[in-house]
Amino acid sequence: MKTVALTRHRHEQSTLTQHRAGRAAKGSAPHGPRRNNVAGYLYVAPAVLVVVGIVYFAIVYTLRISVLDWDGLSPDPVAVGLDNYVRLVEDAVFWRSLGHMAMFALAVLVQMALGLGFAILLHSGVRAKTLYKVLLFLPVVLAPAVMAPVFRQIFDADGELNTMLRAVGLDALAHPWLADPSTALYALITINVWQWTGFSFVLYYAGLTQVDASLIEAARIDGAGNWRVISSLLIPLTRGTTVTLAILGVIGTIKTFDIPYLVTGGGPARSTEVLATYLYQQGITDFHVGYGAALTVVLMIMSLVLTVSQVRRFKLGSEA
Amino acid sequence: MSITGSRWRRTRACQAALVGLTLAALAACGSGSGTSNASSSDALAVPQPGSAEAKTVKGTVNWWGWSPGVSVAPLYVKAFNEAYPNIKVNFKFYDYNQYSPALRTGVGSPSGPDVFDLEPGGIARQYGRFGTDLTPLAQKVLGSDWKDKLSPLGADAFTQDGKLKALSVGSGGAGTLVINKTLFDRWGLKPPTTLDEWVSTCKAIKAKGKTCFVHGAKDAWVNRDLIQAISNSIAPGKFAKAVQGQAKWTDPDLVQALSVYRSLFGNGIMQPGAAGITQYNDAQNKFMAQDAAMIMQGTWELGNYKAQAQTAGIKSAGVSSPKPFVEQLVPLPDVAGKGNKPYLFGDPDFGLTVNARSKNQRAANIFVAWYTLTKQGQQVVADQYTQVPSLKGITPATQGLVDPSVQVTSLRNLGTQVQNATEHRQVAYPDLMTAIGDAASALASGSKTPQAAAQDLQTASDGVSR
Repeated sequence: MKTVALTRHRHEQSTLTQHRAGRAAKGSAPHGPRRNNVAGYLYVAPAVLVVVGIVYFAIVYTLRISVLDWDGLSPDPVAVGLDNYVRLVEDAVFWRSLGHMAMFALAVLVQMALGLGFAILLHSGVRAKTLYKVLLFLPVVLAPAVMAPVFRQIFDADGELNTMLRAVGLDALAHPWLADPSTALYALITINVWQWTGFSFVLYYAGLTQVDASLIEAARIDGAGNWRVISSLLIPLTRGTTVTLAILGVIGTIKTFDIPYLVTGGGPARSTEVLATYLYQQGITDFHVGYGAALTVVLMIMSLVLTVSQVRRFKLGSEA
Repeated sequence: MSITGSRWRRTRACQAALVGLTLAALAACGSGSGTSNASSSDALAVPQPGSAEAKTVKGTVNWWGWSPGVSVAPLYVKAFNEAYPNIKVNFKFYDYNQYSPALRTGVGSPSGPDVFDLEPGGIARQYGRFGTDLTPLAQKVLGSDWKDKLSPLGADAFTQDGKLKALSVGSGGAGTLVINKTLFDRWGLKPPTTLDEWVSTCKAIKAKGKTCFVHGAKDAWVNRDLIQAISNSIAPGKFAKAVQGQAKWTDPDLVQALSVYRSLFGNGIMQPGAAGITQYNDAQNKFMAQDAAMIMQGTWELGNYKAQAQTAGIKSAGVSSPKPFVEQLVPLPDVAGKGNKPYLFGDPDFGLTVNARSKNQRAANIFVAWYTLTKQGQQVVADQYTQVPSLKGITPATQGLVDPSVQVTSLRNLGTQVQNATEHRQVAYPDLMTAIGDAASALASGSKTPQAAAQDLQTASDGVSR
């Protein structure tokens, strides 16, 4: 009897366990599937509201006003079809700004190379690593509005850069960097590299931490020198970081606004104009909101195309 | 795994909180009608400053603007509160370049300004529509002959479709240089009156290790002033006519003006790298720190005739032990040798308007009226020197000047010139204003010839609808 009762108890327990397992396998909550879904929707509701209500609504609204001739304030905008886009194609300043953005994009490679270099150095036996890490990352967190007047001073004809060049006998190189259309863009790119190298450094430093030290040791035993270790081991092993930085760098380039706007205002003579500063001037300063919206649409399409193509390319490459 | 007891209650509480927050966010997005509750007659009930009624009237006025500046605005607020102690005024300062973008989003919002600055030209054209018609207020305070009691530039600049969209605080004039007279006297120099004298004066100043003429050519507005002043020395009034489409930008006189402007960057007058620095604060700081002996500023610079204001400005320029020096506004040299008498061109520096959506119409009207239509308010304006008051018959006090023997006469002469000025300074058409800025920048860098720049201006002018 006792045995039967025990067996029955075990059977009931087993049945109960199977029942619970079955419910767990179905993914149902103990209090019913409907309540669990509602709770999930409530949790994501704020984020969805922000994304849909602000971001996607703004995109659709921008598309809508890009076909208007409107100052953004008057109650009677005029529909002009694709005139704003036709004007854009014929706008020399627009094409010039794209060229400047391409230069900024190339500078991303410099940021990445410097970031990797610093990360490799600081993974070596260097003293005061923490201090160097802070110094490298500090520019990333400085506000552009604070940096802009400082760099205008540094690059001034009587600024610190020229003073230093004269002090070391390089007077011939002393130059009003920001006042000359042929050098202003490079000065801005230098500021940009200075600001964002720290970001590349941090990601590469983290990436290098993941590299198995035994691989490097094995390579050393096989006679690999520094450059061979870097080129054949470290660079391939940090490919994920490189891809991430490339994607972020391209997106950041397309959105570049603060440094050109605050330091040079897009001048002199439009030599540092980028698409974001140009569309700001058109839409905000000159009250050509419709045309500014058309420029914004182009900027958005560029961002999408470049981001998607990079993501697909690197995904396809890794799968091969 | 089951959720029971207190954990279940906490989960439900979190969900309820999230829903509540989302609903609150949605409600905030859609809230606010922005219209005043006061009837218009109530809103125009402006008690006399200092009267018993003035001391009892209450309200809050949120005032947005780029002028009179962070350090000076409290003086106006303090003086206003002596007359109306229970009306609180909150001044929100915006850098001039950021003002229009801020106003665009703020003027229609429930948390926007009750009173805001308007500048003649583009800003007034675009944002004046959000202000009330201040004609009844002017009539109420000054009577039916209010126009005769105010400077003509002001009413003209702010009247749109027969409505007075702002009341001018005071006017400013451009077309002058500011010299550091202390340095000039020390070196035995006189203000230049011709282009050649300007060149030789600059050589002498540079020999002393100072910058001769500091100019923030990155800023389009100061280049515009300089080009207009040069144009007026060649062909008085032609620049203003071209702005209105009544003269061609390719006119030989205006091309010559652009050519003279271009030459300043190569003949040793303009400092190297001018196109890379701003007028405020890069160039102004160099002048205030006495690193440069000349700068182009208009009558708004007269505020620095006062030792206290100038000392604060010198300190802001980074000088640790500021010591006032004598500034003096002098006419632009006769750069083309035409012999034309230099004159000021100007506009109201800014005007004040009452937001039609303000819920504090009465308090806002009282503040605007005090500032622009009363002797008390306009005396405070006059005594700052940065603007010539809009209300006629107000003369500035002359205490606290760095050098009264020079500056009192200068102050009075320039005040009279501004009061009598008829040529406008502001360009009312944003596209043309941008084109002038682009042309100035291209000329400064040498990337365009004066003829090509003039053609660009004509093209821009042809596209403006006037």
